[in-house]
Amino acid sequence: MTRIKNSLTLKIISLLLLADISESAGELFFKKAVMQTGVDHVVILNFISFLLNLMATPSLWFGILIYTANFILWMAVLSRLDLSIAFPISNATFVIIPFFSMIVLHEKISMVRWLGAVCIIIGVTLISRSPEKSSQTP
Amino acid sequence: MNIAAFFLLFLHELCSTAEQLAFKKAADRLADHKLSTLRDVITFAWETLKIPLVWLGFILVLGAWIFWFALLTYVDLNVAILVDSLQYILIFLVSGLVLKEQIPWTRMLGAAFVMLGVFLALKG
Repeated sequence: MTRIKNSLTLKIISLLLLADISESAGELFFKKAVMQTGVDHVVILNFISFLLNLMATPSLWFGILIYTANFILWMAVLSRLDLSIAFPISNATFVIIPFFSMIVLHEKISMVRWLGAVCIIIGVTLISRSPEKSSQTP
Repeated sequence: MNIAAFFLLFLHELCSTAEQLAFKKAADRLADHKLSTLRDVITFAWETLKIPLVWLGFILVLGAWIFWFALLTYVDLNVAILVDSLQYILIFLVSGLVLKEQIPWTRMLGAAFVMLGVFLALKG
């Protein structure tokens, strides 16, 4: 049985969106776990105690669980879409993660930084473009 | 971001890029495997785990995560995520210099945009 590859159906868009959201949630849990260790700045002297404290935080394990789910979602996306199509769409995390950092972690983000995020999305999209493949597309 | 944070970012990017290279080199050895049945998938997984480069990849993943967590003690998540895009420049450089892949002008332009974006993110 053959399946039409690279068609952006509602199901695939939902999978991509879920992959983006799960990646963002995973990162938020990681940051929360790091904050819960109580370590301000990791240096060589407190490195081991930082890692031990980190492993004792439930947020770290939630983050790892969500990241595992994200990996499965991403593999499901890649089995249906070429990387050159899926990758630029996944770059939305450069906006989604700062947005949720602002809402959930109360981080401050200036307009200049948002502009930086837009430049990065454009840049990463250009880098991940595959000129050879796109010229073959009918 | 101070020097220590940049150093941790550098170690994180180094591990991430080496991890991608290790997995890519390992995947090249598996290109001939069929994946039509469940038996094929199990065989594929078993053959994957038998490649030492895959295990090196796993160690590098762990290293990349540890340095990432350490970096997060220095900077806000939004800054860390944006500066992490420098990895694409590193992969781009490795593709050109180590793997001798051809670099089209669109990728060079993309790299310039990423660098500008990171500069603005750190400035903002």
